[in-house]
Amino acid sequence: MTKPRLYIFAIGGTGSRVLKSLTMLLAAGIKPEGETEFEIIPIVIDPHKSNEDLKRTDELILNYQAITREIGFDNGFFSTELSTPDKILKTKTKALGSFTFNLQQVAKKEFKDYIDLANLNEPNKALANILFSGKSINKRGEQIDLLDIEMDIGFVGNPNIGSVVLNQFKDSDEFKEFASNFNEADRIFIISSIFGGTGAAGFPTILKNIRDAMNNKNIDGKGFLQNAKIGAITVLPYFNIEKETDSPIQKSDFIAKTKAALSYYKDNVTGNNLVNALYYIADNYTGKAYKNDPGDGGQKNDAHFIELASALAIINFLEISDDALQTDEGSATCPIYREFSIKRDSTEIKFEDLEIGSEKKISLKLSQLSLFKKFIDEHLKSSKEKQAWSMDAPAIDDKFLSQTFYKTYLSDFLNAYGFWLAEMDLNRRGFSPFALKTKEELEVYIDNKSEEIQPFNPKSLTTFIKDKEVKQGWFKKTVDYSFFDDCLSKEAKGKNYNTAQAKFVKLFFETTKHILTSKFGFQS
Amino acid sequence: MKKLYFISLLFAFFLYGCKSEFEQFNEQSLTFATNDKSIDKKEYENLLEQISLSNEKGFQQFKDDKGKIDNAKVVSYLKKYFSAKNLAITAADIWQPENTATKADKFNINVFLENSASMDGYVKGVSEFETAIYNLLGDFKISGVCDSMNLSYINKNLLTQKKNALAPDIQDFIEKLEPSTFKQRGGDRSVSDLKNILNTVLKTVNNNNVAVLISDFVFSPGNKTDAQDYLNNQGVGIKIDFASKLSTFDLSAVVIQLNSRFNGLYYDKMDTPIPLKCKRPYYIWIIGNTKQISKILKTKMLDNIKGGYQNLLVFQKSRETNQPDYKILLSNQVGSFRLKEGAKGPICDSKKSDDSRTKGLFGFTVAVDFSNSLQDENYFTDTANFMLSNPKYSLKIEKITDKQNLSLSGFTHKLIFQTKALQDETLKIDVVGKVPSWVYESNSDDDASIAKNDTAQKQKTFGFKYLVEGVSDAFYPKSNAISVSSFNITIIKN
Amino acid sequence: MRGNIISILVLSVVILLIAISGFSPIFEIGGLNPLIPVDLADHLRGYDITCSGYFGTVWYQYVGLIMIASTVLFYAIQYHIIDKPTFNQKHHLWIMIAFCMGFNFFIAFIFPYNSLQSGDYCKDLNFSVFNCAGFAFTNSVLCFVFYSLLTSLTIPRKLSRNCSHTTLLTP
Repeated sequence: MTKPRLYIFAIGGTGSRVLKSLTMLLAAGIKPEGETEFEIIPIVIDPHKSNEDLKRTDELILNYQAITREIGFDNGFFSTELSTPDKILKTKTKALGSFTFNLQQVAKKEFKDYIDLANLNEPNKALANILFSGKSINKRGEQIDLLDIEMDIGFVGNPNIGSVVLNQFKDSDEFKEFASNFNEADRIFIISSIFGGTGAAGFPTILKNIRDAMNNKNIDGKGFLQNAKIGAITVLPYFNIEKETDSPIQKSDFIAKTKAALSYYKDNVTGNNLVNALYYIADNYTGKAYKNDPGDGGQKNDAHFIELASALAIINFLEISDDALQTDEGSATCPIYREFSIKRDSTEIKFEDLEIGSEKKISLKLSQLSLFKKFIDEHLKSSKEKQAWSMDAPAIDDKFLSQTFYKTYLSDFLNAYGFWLAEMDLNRRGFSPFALKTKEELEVYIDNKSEEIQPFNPKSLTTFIKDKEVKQGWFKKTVDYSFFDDCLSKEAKGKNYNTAQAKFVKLFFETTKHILTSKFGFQS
Repeated sequence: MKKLYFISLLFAFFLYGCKSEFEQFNEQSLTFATNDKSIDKKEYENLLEQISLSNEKGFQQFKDDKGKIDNAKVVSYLKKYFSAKNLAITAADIWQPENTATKADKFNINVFLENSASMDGYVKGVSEFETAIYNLLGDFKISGVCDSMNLSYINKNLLTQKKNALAPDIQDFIEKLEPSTFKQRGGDRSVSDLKNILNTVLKTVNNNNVAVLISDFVFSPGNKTDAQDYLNNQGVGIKIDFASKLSTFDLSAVVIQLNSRFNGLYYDKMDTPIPLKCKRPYYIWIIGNTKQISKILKTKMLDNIKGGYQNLLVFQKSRETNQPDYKILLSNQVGSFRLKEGAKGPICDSKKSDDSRTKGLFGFTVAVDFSNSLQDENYFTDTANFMLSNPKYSLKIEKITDKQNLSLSGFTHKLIFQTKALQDETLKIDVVGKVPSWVYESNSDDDASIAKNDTAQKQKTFGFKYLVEGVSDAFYPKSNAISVSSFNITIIKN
Repeated sequence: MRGNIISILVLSVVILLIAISGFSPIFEIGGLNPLIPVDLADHLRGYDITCSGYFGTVWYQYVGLIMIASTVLFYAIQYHIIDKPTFNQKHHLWIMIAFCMGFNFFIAFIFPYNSLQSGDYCKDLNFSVFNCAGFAFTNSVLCFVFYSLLTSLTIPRKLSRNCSHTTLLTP
């Protein structure tokens, strides 16, 4: 019996980043409570192909998949199936990742050509000119008219353009296949930001296309899509952007655009109950500002706590029972609306600053993954081929460490995880539950993407989690790497592992869990 | 923590449990001894119990062939052991079960004093003869081995002087004796028919009666018969009488030769009286069963005879039931060997000597304890009394006098064996019953020269050898190979 | 696996030998050991102080049992009692073996030396302090052999948490 699927439409830069956070959480073994296991299929919709965030998320998910291909889903970490759309979509999406929806005809095309302005009749041409008046800048930084925007950098904060273009989705082959493969038990989640370009446009467009499936001549077959259980998160402004007079993206516009979008949603999203569960998240933080760069190779935003919290919405959505997500004739019978909160308004969030629900959900598992990485960074070299756990068959030896699984997939993934943690740590509002290196060191680390520098503060194991104190004393064992090795050997004793890869992951999952629950005071 | 406890427990258990019973016995005896510098009855019995309960080979040295514990060996070992541990404890400090002779073990002694005329010379005045015999008889009485004593004179007739003699009676019997009183006591004092005397005496010997015969044992052929024939006949007659007794009775006899002042008439073979004033030998024979004789010898009464004795000879019928205790010594090896199974042998890995002084020879020394034998210790120093199964081995014997040497403690003689022909074999060492040389030295075939003042002859006894040989032939018939004592030593080359 | 079988075989042979003829053939190596001369060997076998036979203290047994027990103890201390990831490398094992050998040298030396000094031995046997040292050396070598065999077996080692792969040559 196949698992029900969760199709995630990650729209725009925010979508990619939330997807990245979600991947990190899934890698840590965080999953929705309940017996149903979902197969998650991310579909990224972002014409901004050179979007750095997109690239990074892409790589991350590919590594995740490579890892799970080798070890399966029973090892604690990486326990959720993340699939690519081409599993179900026959049409090959030729774009960057295999799960990026190929927005047709956006490459190198100007908007006016897209809407074929030249060939519109006069009244339509005039309408278009009014609707799409205004200025923007192109990727070379020159100021141009809105109609002259080259769309391969997204819609640069112009949802009015975005919505037109993204409407093509419903006519695509991908959508057709998606619809015909969509089952009754499957769910959909849409991630978008309300203040951006792509996100703000894409969310209602896609939502409409889905709910309107019955009327879509393009698709045939089951009518499950119309009554699909749909969740969505709309990310309201949460970051500060540098003032740049020549940039088409201005912070002051954010609030205005948010208001405009919200009122649109009121009529077209929430007003007609199109979404079964809608999540809102926002932060009025006025701290550290981002660089204002819309252009090619740009929009590389550091990871932010909001993205992690948004990813939690997806988890939360999967925990809602089917009964609560009933839809009739394309309309949610009892729509749910949720917001996210933290316990304490701190600029650098630690676990204890989170509400109990969030804390319970993520603190232990993230700590486990972090401890895993910390061990690999700081101590694996001294333990390999010396300790019992490493020498027991299947052995974790130099041979294993030179194989692709560890050397490429896992290492790359964990490196990305390290950067993710460091970015969130440095960001404001920051998320820094772990003792990382100093600000200066972390900045060097992030900028150089150096693999020699590790993000964690190597000083000691006991102070690794900021608000958790390790119980030490006369009769208690010191918590150090020797203790870690001891726990590893104890955990590995007598266990049978199919492969060294599975052993590596599962062993560390179980051991870090043991250490954290017994010494750091976590509740399992 | 639990692991440590368990392991140390195991360790301790190991160590304790591994002591052999013999080692525990040693330790226990040492504890008893150091407590109060002695071993009392309770402690001794405790040790005895340990010995009897265990089958370990260490305890075998205390038991005889039948497994009965020999207290003397136990005491002897304990003495040696304590000595080695520098504890000054003597045999006196160790309680020993008394050999309280029960009434059933006691016997009567019949004393026969030959009172032919030739004996007068011994009783004139106060002689060593009177003193010695008086004391000996007194010792018999107080030793506790006999419960009564009958005194008699004997020559042609048996004259019982006193039954159940008391001290004054003994005094009367011998001490106060003078030639006149001798005459007075009566009997036919003319002839000494030794064969008849011995026969009469033999007849009185049984499990309740021991005979003590005192005489000069000089044959009197008289002038009617040929002396040589007479002596021969007497010898044969004595042999037959003794043999006859031996066939039905476990007979043993002790013959001691003593000297005394003689002042009187000596009757030579022709019965010619010769006045003599000199020292002359006389003999005391003690005849009984082996047990009785053994008891008497153990009391060491004979050794305490006033004036001492010159020579001693023991006749015994049965071969000693116990092998003498022996020990092969590791010291004084000529060549080399090992005792892989202990001091009783076998002698293993034997090799001849390469040393320039003893090249080609192989030799070893055995310490033997002959103290339990009826025979005198001097008997065992005579190599002529030993027979070896392999004549290629030479034998030298030394008495053990070194009291300090612990390893020799408890043994009486050292037998030193040597050979040029080393081979795998079991060497059988037999101690045979023989007429000792002193008998021949004391013998006289013709005492006529006494008249001519032959001093040497005065010390001898006419026809003595015929007498002794007669008895010897009865005890040790030449047809049977009878050994008095024997043990084996196995020698293995490699 | 093959090493395991060899070790088990050797150990079984040794145990059988000890059960049948005690520790003497182990120490004397069938008489070929030049470090234990015949006289010392006799004393160690238990030739008693009165030179009457082998019923004195069998020193071979004491020394042999202490050697086995101490080796097992040292092994157990490292592998099962301490059992730490910081004490499981091969040089740590070498250190423990060195201590064990030293201990056993001392024990094997002190027993006959004591007998020699106190005169508590059959005086017909001649041996010297040098011979005592030879015996002690033999015992320490045997300790080494036994220790190596013990640590080469996978079975007791596998019960250890951190030292299950610790042998003379690895890790």
